[in-house]
Amino acid sequence: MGCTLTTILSIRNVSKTYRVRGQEGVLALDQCSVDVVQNEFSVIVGPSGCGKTTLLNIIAGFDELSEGEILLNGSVLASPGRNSSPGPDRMVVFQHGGLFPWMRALENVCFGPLARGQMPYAEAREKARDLMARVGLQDIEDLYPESMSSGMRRRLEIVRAIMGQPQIMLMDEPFRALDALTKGVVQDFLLKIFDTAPHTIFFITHDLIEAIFLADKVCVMTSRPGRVKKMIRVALPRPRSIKLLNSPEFLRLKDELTDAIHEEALKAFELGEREAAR
Amino acid sequence: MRRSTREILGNLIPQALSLSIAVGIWQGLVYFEVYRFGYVPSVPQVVAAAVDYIPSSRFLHDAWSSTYRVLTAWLLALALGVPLGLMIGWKLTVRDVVFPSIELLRPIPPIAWIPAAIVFFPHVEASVIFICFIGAFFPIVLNTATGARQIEETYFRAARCCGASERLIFRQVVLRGAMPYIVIGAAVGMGVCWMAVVAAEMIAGERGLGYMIWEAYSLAQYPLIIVGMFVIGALGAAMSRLIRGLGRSLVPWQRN
Amino acid sequence: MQAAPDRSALSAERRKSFHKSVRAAFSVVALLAIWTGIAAFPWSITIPSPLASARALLQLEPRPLAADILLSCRRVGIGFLIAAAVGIPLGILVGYSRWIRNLLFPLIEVLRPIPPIAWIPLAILFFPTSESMVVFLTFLGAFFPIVYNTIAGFSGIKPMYLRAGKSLGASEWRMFWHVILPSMLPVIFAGLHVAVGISWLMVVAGEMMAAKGGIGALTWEAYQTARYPLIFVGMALIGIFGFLSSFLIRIAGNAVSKWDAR
Repeated sequence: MGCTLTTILSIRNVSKTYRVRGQEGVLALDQCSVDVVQNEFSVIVGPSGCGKTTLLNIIAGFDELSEGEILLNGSVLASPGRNSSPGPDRMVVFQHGGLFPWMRALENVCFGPLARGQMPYAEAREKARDLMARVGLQDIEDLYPESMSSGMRRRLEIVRAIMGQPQIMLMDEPFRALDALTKGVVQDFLLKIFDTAPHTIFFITHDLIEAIFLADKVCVMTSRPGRVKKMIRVALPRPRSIKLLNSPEFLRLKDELTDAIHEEALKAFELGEREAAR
Repeated sequence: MRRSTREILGNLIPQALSLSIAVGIWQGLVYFEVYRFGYVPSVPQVVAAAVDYIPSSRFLHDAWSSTYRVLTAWLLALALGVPLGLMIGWKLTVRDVVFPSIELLRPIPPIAWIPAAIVFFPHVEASVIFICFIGAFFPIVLNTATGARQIEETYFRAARCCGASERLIFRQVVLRGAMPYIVIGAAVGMGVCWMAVVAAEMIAGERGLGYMIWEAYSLAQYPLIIVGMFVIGALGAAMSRLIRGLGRSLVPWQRN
Repeated sequence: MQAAPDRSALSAERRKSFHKSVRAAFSVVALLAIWTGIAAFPWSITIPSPLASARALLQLEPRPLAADILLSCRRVGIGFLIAAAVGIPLGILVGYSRWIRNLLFPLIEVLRPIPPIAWIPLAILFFPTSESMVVFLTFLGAFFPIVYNTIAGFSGIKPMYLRAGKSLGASEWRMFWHVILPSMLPVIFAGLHVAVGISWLMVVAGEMMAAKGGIGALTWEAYQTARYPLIFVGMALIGIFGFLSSFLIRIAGNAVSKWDAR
């Protein structure tokens, strides 16, 4: 029992205050602390507006923190006054689709390595085709995103994210807009990639079943201001199959998670009502 | 949506009928000298003038002069307007500094620039091209800026995540993302350019279709005026269609 | 737990809009500076500087200038209003009746590509007075955008609105007045917006080429009598009033179709 797991991402006491016009500052994140270990699938759940997307944006480099610090692989990524800039070490899969509409599938996947000038054009194309073939997407190479189904688009975006071999993959409610059936297919797709070529994943969702189904560890965030309230370990065996959804362990985890989240959801709802009334 | 041959024919016949009726009314008004229609050329006169003018080399020269001026001005307007428009749409600082001046100058129509252009440009050719340039420049800049501005933040983020430099983002995200609007601006600009060339040639040019119409008037070759009008209309429409078709090929990812 | 009242947020807002005004002012100043610079260069013909043009403006007698401005505005107004009065009902008729559509639409489509400017020689030939000629030109400039947009507005009505109206038991007239017409208004006003701009263009063109009086004639005279600073004054006036007329239409459009304010 002596394996040391490297902590890839370390979020320490991160707080974020928003400046809103004409009002006092709004505290979005309040002393959040989370650690993500190598090749671990971490999921963050929380009610709407709790700040989970804000946290992801800070890690990704799209936003700044006000207090605390974030370490990537031991070195400081972000601290007050020093912001991280976005980079391929923390590839993002966006909620509303980040594939470039004006590029075909293959070009989208190649974009990262070509943008960094890492390899010549022909080599990038070969690698991209190879990767797409390995995950079963070889047929859509020449399609534009508009011609693809939403499930294909999500899968392609995941492929683009792993193409750059990121240190950690940041996924911002990526399957939110999918219908239930497509969601299952894409979740399986992601899990299959995770099983064959492990990645460190930081995944945000509000769907509790999705959270348990995918995760090694689920962190529950409180309503605004967001704080990590509870951490639940998911020790279900991999590879995960749908059959697990009815197993007693799964149901127990679901209970635990629902309890933790429900009171936060209620608080968030009331907060929202109060704000709308203002 | 493919229309059946029957549908096309069904529409063609009433349309041909409508035009024939219009031509008939025209001829009738002229023949019976209703009001001042006696001064207007009759249909046979116009047809004769058309048959004489269109196959001739004069027409080729005039059409080429005008087309040449329009194309030169339009390409210049694209070369200057697209990069400027992209920067305005992309960077707030550029917009704040450049846009107010553009909005100040934009309401001044190309025609209003004609006297100034005639006086201050040494050659007629330069002044006409300048007028057309003014005409095309503003629609191009405005539409391009709108195009750059509406690109969603997500795409910029995705590009930065992939490690793209600012220059690459400009080429691969801003330019390509704004393309549908650039195409619209180019098409509108071409239309305005065409109108401007006619005005400029009528007032100041020594050749070209606009000048031809004015000359026909001053030489009392009235049927030629009408021939010229229709020729200008047809050429302008053809060029607009060409640009729109070209534009579609530049935006293959939008199938609507 | 909420942070303490953030006064710096308010001043940050004010700072931003201050910066924006500074940049806008810089833009205008830079434009004037470039103009002055171009004017100062020893070309073969002296280009008037902004100062010279401003002086020329002040030297103009106010009453004749106002008369010119009013004349141009009147010509635009008359032509534009006639075009709207004829064009909108015509567009609606074309939308309603397939018969009229087949009769009129081909004619419109053949005539529309002809730039209004190209009509000038024919108009000079046909109209007895330069006044009627210029008004015809403004009418012509406004007519086609208005008709075209009205037709487009008609065909762009969402069938859903029609079905809703019918299922609520509306009569034909009510349908038209309360469902169809309001639905078309934004597109019609967009057409009016374009039309007034072209009208203004045509007034200037007509005045430059053949008419007496008006801002276009003023600018042309300045050219012919080599009073060059006045050319720029004329251009500025044309720009200002063109902008004002578009602005008025936009305000009218917003007032009439409040749900679609731009």
